Amino acid sequence: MIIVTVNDRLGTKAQIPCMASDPVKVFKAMVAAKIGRPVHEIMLKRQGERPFHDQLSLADYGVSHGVQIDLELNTGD
Amino acid sequence: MADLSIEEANKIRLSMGLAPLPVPGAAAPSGPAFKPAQAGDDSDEEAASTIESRQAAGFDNWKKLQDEAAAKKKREDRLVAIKKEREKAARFAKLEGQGLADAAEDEDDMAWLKSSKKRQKKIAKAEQMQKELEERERQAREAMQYTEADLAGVRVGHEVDQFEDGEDQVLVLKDTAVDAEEDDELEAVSLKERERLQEKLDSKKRKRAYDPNDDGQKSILAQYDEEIEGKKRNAFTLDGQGRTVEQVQAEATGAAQPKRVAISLDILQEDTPVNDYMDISEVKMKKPKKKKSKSSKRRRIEDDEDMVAVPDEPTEEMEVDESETKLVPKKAKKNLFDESFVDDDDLQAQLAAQRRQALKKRKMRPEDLARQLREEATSAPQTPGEVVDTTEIAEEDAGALIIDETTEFVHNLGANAGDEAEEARRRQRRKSSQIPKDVDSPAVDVDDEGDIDMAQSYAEVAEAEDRERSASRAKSAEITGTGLDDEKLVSGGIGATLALLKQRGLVANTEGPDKNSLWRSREKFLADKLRAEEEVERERREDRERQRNSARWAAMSARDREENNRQANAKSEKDVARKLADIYNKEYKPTFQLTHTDEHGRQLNEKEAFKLLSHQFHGKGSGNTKTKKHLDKIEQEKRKIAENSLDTRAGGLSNAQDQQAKKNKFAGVRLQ
Repeated sequence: MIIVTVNDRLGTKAQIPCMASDPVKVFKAMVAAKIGRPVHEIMLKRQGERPFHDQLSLADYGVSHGVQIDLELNTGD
Repeated sequence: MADLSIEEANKIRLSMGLAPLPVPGAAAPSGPAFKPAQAGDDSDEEAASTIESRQAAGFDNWKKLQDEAAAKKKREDRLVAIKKEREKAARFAKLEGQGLADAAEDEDDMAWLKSSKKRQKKIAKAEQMQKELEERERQAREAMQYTEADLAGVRVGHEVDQFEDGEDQVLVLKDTAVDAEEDDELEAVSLKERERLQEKLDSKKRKRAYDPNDDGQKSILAQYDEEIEGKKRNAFTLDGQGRTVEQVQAEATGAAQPKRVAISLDILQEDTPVNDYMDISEVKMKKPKKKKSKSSKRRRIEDDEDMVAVPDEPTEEMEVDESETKLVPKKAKKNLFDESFVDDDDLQAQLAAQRRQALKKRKMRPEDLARQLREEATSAPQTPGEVVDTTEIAEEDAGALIIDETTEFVHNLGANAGDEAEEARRRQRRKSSQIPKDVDSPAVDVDDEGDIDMAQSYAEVAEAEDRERSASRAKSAEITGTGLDDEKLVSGGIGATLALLKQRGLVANTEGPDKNSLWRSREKFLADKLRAEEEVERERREDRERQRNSARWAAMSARDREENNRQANAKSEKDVARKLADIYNKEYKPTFQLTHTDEHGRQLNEKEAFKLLSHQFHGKGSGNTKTKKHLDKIEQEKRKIAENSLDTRAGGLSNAQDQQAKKNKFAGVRLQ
């Protein structure tokens, strides 16, 4: 179990416990549940990189315990 | 918000249908839920084999690490805090020992007084103890010190006088080998360095074995002594009292001190330079005696004699004969003159005889000769005004013949050198004629150039002609002011006009004669041809007339007549054509002239024409500078022509004449 920090840099910061093998989709759902936003509004990415794909897992992205991921809310259409 | 607790996370996961998160501390799940959990055996013996279990273990490990670190930190903090507390407490801890107030027991004054001595003793003892302590310390320090006495017997490896006064020198122990048995030697670092440097420099110099300035006291091959025996070392030994041992020894032995020779310094004062002048007292001045010369005496005597003699003469003679005295000076003068001239009577006689003979030969009398000379003098100026003047002169002063510089110069001017003979002739003729006619005839002739008086005799006519010619020549030979020939006037005729134009550069010199002749021949040819044609025409007309009048014509019908006419025409045409061809072949010499004209209207010569054609062919002319030059040249030409045609300058040279002057091969102008 790892604890991943999700930071909006605008005031929304959450620490989500999950498994490293969880797909990003599940992780996004947990984040959404925590924050209180619908899932499609959440975009996870690292700074200067492309957003995370739902199919891959956190381990694939090298997200381990204590890693902080950028959160972008409602930036799509 | 910050932390999602695991329970909540699990709740979310279960709602999503995912496996719940492994709670830390609990056993690691052994794979997916649907697998039947097997007790003991199936669970891997290794601590964590699946990713999840490993992750869980990792989490646990991490947590443990963090906890340990936290505990450690806490412990340290606690320690620091304790220490701080202790120090704080210690600050406010009560001092131990007796306080002033505490220690004082209640004593009465007597007891205090009695104990005062004890007290004093105690104090004294304390003081003494203190002193002793100090003493001991000082001694200990001193014992540690290294004084001058310690240096007794130590060698110093320099000369005594190498050390400069007034400076503290730090001497260092000289480097020696470990097993050296010699005593320690001190040396000054700076001096040593200097010595070493000196040695190095000296070794770099190429030193000769032979030094001419040095005396011959050294042994043979003295330069190798150092190498053989080792370097000479200067050293002096210190004694403990600040002097050198050598010095003490020297004093002890009482070495012979150098004698002191007294030298008087008066020697230096002896070198003052000697005065070049004698003292004033030594100089003796003698007054020179006045000597009277003999000559002055003599002169006085002579003058006296003269003075005596001269007044004597007149006093003597004047009374006797006055006339004689007057004659004397005159005679004296005449004597002088006579002396110069009547020197050589024979010579004069001979010259006179020769003169007489020459005159005789000439067969002329002196009067005639005089007249001839006079007329020559007056004949040179030919203008009427001057003639009048000379005639006036001739009338007035018939007897005298004036020959002076002016007349000679004028005579020598003489207009024409080649006309000497003519002039002589004229003179003869004038002599024959009377004088008044002489006056009139030049005036008449000059007035009427063309008309000659028919009443004159042949001789006179000839004379008049000659005069006219000379006058015209004189006019033509008039000296121009500029030195160049005057421009020809248009009134001088076609030739003069052409010459003028050529001179001014308005007409270029072309091959005139050939072209002219050719043109004339061509014109002649054309005229002949025309004439021939006319002849032919006339003949034909006559033939036709004859034909019409002839008998055969009447007999022929109209058609026949036409036929006949046609044939005749054809025949005549043929004949004419043949004749023309013959004439052409024989006489026609065509000349053709290719002229090229440029845009300015100028005639181009071959080169310029070629250039123009080339530019047109290639479609490209010259560059800017070249075209500018060309245009400037054209402009200049036009301007020159324009100026030349209008140029009239009264005095001096006109532009054209100036150019002409410049074209001359030779420098300068020709004066008559």
